[in-house]
Amino acid sequence: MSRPPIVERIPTDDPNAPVEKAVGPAPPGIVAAQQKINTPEAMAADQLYGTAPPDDSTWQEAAGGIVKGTSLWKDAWKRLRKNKLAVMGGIVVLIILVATLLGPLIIKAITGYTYDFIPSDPALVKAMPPTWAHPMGTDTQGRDILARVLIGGRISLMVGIVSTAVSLVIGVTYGAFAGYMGGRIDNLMMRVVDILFAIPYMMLVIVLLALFEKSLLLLFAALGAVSWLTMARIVRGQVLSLKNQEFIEAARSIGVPTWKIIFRHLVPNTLGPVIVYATLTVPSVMLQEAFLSYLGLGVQAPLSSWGTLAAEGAQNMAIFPWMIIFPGVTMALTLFSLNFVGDGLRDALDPQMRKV
Amino acid sequence: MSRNGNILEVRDLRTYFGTEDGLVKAVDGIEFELKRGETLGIVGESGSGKSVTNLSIIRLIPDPPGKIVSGEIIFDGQDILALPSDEVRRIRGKRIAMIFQDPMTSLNPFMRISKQLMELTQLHLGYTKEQAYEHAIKMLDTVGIPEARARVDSYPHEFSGGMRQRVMIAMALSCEPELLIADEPTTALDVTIQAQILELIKKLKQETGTSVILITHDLGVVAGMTDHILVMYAGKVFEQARTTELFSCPGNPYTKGLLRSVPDPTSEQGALYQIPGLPPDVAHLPPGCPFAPRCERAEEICRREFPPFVALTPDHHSLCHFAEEVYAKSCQERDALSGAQTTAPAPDNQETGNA
Amino acid sequence: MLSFIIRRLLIIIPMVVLVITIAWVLIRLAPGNFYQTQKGLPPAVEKNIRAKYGLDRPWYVQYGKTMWAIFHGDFGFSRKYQEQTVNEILWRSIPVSATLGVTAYLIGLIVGSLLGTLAALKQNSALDYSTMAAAMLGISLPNFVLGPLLILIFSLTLYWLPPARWEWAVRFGPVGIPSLRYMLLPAITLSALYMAYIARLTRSGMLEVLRRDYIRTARAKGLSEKTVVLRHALRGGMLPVVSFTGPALAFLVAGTVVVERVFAIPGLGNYFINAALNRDEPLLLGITAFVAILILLFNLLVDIAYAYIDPRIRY
Repeated sequence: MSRPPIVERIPTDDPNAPVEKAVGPAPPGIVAAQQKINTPEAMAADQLYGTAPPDDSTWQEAAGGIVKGTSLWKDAWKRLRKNKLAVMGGIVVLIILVATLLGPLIIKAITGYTYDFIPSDPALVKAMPPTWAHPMGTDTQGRDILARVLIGGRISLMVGIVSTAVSLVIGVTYGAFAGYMGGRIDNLMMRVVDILFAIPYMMLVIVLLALFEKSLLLLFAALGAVSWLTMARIVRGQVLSLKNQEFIEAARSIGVPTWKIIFRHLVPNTLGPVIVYATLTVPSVMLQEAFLSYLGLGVQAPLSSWGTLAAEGAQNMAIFPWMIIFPGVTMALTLFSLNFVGDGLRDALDPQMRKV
Repeated sequence: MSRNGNILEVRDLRTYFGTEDGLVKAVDGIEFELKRGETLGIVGESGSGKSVTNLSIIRLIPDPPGKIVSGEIIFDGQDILALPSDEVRRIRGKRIAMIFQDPMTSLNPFMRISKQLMELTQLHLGYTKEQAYEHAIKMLDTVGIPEARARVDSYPHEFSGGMRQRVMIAMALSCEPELLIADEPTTALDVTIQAQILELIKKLKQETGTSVILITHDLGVVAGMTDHILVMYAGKVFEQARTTELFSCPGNPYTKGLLRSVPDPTSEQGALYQIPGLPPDVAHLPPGCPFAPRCERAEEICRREFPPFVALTPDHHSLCHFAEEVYAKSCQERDALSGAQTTAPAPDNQETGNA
Repeated sequence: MLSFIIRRLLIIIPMVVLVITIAWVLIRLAPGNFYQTQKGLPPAVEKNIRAKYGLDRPWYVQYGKTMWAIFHGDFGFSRKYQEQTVNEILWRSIPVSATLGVTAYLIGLIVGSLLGTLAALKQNSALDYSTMAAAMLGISLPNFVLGPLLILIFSLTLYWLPPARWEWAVRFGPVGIPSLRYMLLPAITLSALYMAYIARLTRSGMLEVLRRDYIRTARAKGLSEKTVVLRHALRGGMLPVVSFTGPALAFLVAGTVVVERVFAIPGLGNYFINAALNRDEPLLLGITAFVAILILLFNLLVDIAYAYIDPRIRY
């Protein structure tokens, strides 16, 4: 039922005519379908094989043809807005994003606390439960947990986004190249991916981070390197199915260079699944970062991330439970919302997975 | 048991679907009856509601989004819509069997053919495993699958499309149902296979005496197979008549259009006729006659008022403001034609239709 | 099929060699050395240590000797846990991790597929929404947060279950039946992720399958809804769960590392982290090799299971 993208490329009698004007007074919703059926080839084929056009399922027949003439993106946006969970998730993510960016500044302006501010009064250097001054309490050094959670969120989100970007660049380039070249090169490149898939990656990442000097850069690279494989497979699959279509042939025939075909013509058309996968990669990378930080292999002091905060909290949770509850809940809420956005995007962009 | 020799009577059936685009009245007030041993053809373009009608008969409308809003479906004297669901289940597969459009997807790919056949007779007829197995082989043999014994344990993907549709037929007939509903049984098949499958259904129908509802969008398919024809459009019955009558004297412009678009092997026409436009969006029907936007005969009244269901003869009804006029005209044409040719071929003599 | 299995088994050997080599190279490339924790060793002592562990030899000799020994199943002595061979440590810790992991996976599989199927059958019901929300929470809540929270509630507040450690109730050599009291919390912590993933996979798989034409055929046969689901839908609906088993094992490896740390369980994951942090090369290589073999074997098993479930797949 992945119709919308196909419908978009159906030739009309007059390629410049707006879709709505092409045929009589019919509602715009079914215009694309009309054009499809009224092409001479389609008519002849229908007569010959006795296949009436769109009739692949009874339900669709019942609905009078759900085929949309609007663009894929508009359609997806419409569907996404209808998905309340995804919209709410998006709002929460935005709030948290803004809070992690501006929050530390605001706290500093109001109370003067920063994430690494240790009070000079020794009596205050201790874990204190939440108060108005410290809405999330303080840690064992007397530092404001709210400020630390916000700064930690900044790092965590940054790791999530940057590592996803790393995996995006590697995965899309690799996958698009393999898919476009095809044949033996494709075969070889995909075998490499298969082999890498079978490797216990997380173990090697642990070994890598345990042995080498820990730095954010290494963390980005390690986490990005873990998640590009699936991306490469997705993009390759898309490119394989796209590359023999007319618009690529046309580009090739007028001598557009290969890299330009790949990045100007093929990659933009694979965007839907890539966006969906990238959105779902962000929370999973953030979880991995937290996992590594928890083990003491990720973000190092004095910087904090949600993983390191949770690790500190876990050590002290028997006496100071707020130290794990606040960072843990903030993190879970963020990942929760991100996952809902990703799920919503997938449902919106991939009508095949759409609920009946 | 039944009052008047009718195996099935459908009264004022309405099946609606709630969709994103609003309420879709997929079937809206259908009435028909089917006599024991007869064959009814239901013809219409996609979206006309013919498949929904038949899923409604055995209550297989997915709910949500679909719902049978009103009506009676009287099968052998019992209203199926009023029965508790486990009694309906006892009718399904045993007394009313269905053949679906796409044999490629209608068989369970994870299960051996034998098992898919056996579960019917084990369930409905209480066969033991051995009996059911032998019966499965017998049924495959009946529908013309060579070396049935050797192939009964195959998986569906090891069969061709035509063979799979034969398996579907074997499955449908294995409990000797009183009513067989074939929903576009040949649409997904090659032209040569289409003819074979239709012949098979016809032959088995003659042997077992079961009543058949044959759903299709192709008038050519029903021509040589059916006693009565129901023409559906936008969830309504547009015309209903004996097959011979419908072919010779259609009383509805829509039926006329459908008939003109059947390729006629005897004539030398160059271009095929096509009814202009598309089946309507059932969620947003125009106020008047749903066919009016595409109708050659349409006048002002058609766009304004819903047409009446006119009885042209006791056996022939048409939903049209100008039913009588259209009917008279096509009867004239027929008489003129038979007058000119003296031996006009009766439509129901072209046995296999266009297949 | 047989030739496929043999081919795949043969591929495992170079793959494991590759993984061990990568780990070995990483260890060698890393700055510092395992003995440098003791500061300012006299040069003579350092020379002795290097000679004792063969570190004064050229790298290819070291590599060759290491691989040769590993090929014979001998990983040598641990450098952190002196006097213990790597094999002894593996022998002792694998049953613990395996018991924990298998239990967690079974909990996840049973509860997850059950909830997922029910959610699919009652799509858009309250049950569906709450199951899916819980599953999303399971995916979003890191196990190092969930574990401490469970300890906080059930051990430190309610005093129902012990907060840490591992006990065998009955032992048969290295294996045994674990003490449920000790295993419950870590097993639940570890299984949360599987439960969540499997519930989601089952739900979407079942929804997909229940829409298929052959399910309509099954209903048209007059089969009861239970038979339709169990006999016709479940097989196809569970295929995504089967393919998830491969990645699940990789999750398990990472999961045990955390859970064993949270609950102070002397399993493979705990040893692995300690080995990595202490540059305990033999132990690190031993665990890496074991896990690599395990994952590769598992992937093979998944492929075989897949072919068994779906008759259309032939190798």
